Amino acid sequence: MAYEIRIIDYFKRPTLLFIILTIVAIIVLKITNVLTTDTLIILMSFIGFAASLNIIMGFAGYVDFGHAVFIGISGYTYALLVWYFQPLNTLQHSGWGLGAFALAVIAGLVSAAVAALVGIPVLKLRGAYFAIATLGLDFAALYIIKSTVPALEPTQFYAAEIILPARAIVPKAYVFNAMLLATATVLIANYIIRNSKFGAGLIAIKEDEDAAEDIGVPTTKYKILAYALGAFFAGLIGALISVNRGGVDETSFSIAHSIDMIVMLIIGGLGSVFGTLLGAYIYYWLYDTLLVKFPGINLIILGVIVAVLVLFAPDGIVGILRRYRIAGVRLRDVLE
Amino acid sequence: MSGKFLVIDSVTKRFGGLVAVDNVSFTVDQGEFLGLIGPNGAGKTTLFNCITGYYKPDGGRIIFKGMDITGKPPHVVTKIGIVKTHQIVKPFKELTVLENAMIGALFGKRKGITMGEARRIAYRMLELVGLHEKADEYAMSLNVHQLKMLELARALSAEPELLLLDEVLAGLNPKEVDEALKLLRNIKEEMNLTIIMVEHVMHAVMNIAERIIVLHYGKKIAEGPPVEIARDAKVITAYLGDAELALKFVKTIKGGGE
Repeated sequence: MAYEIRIIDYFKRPTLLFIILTIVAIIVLKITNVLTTDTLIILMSFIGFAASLNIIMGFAGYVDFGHAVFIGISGYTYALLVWYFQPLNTLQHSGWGLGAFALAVIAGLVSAAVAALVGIPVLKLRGAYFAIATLGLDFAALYIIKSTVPALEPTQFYAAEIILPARAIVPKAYVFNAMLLATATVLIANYIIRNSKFGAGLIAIKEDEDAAEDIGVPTTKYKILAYALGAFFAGLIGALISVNRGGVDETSFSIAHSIDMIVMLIIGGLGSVFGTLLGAYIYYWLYDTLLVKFPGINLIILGVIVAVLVLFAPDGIVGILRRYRIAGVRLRDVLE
Repeated sequence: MSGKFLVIDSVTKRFGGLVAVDNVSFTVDQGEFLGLIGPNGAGKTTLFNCITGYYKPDGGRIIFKGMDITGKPPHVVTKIGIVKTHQIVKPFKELTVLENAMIGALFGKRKGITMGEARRIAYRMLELVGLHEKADEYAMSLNVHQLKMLELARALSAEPELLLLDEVLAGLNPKEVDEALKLLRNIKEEMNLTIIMVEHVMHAVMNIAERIIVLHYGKKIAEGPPVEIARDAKVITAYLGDAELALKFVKTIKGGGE
């Protein structure tokens, strides 16, 4: 069966190479000081956020407009943990960033737990109804935070903002290490999921959920797991962003974060790990360039560019590339 | 009763005031080819959906190999060994033909299956239905006949013991119907399957089924070998509202008399 061997199936792609290249490039940029540590941290967070959303939106096809809620929940969890538990504050300063990473994992787990609980009813909804429900979740969580956080320590918190005291600030280099580890983790998780039975099931759910269930995919379990994983990674990265900022406020819940992530995925190409990386690079570059060159109207220009991109390439860059072959090899088989 | 392969015991399914399946009982033996016919809206597809767990019956029990599977979700029923094909084909359009069948193999009866094994099973099933040359193409590029065969290959890849075919022959031309019948006989033999087939292509189901059950307004009105069914007064009355089908029945009766 020579024919069979020729087929590279959907579930095995050499994306790992691109992931390794990304990590190496970030380390090189850091060592050579081409980009500042701060810029690299933000760039990595863009990549990480996009990859976290890719699990539920790219693979399973569920558009999550409220994904920012998991950034917010873990950001506040992290800040409150550090504020109230002195040993944890010591922990986050240890291990050149490993401690902060471990604490961010705990905060991410809180996000994942919320996602799993909320996901049981909400993931019964499909399409636009799911998107609206997630938006509602974001608003509800923000409301709860705004009404409870100021009551915790009225003298120290202004509104819902928590500014971490100087003793709780982690050095930038540590934050960089933790963020690099987090970004690598979420990318590799994407790669593993993509090449697993679980990933194949999620893709089947995206294509036709009823057919997937009929052929044996445990759709409810898989959707909840994908949602919780997406929430965990968004939370992991989100917590480190609040460490980087030295605090957390209600903008963590901003729908702008959700839209950023959705746009990155759409630019790159939904469901493709390579597309996610590409989308995050391009979006970040556009965002940054426009902010420098056209301050004030940068977001308007960005909006127009995104609208044009979606109009002419609704499947994203990978969506266009996958249709072509080079030397008989389908690009789809290489890129995704 | 418990020794039977599949037992449908007084199954009822209501949608509001409409009783789609009304106290239907029958049994199926291992290795049997059973035809399930009836005019449009008779409850055939609803009954299938009750067996696969897409609907939870309002009454009655479904027992497969001695195990009560009533109300178990579809993905569990699939793993137990019952798989159905869809009346309106539901391919995973953006996956290739091989990948479609691989999903069946990955999530079917076999536990702990590797990607390589899934690919081998999927490819063998594509060969069986004659789609292997299209293995590398997207499902969305297939025509109706090929999509029907893909639906079949995907179901077979899950390695069912009981296969429920929901109008697999609809939309095929006479030549394709004949080929499909030959194919179904081969597959049943090769994979040691039990098949229940819902079908409107009357001469086909009369030809291939060993036994036929007729549903009308959700009730079972007849059961027996094809020749008997074709002569059954109740069945003919049920179909008389449909001139075309009644005509086909008359033809079948003639055929049976020869």
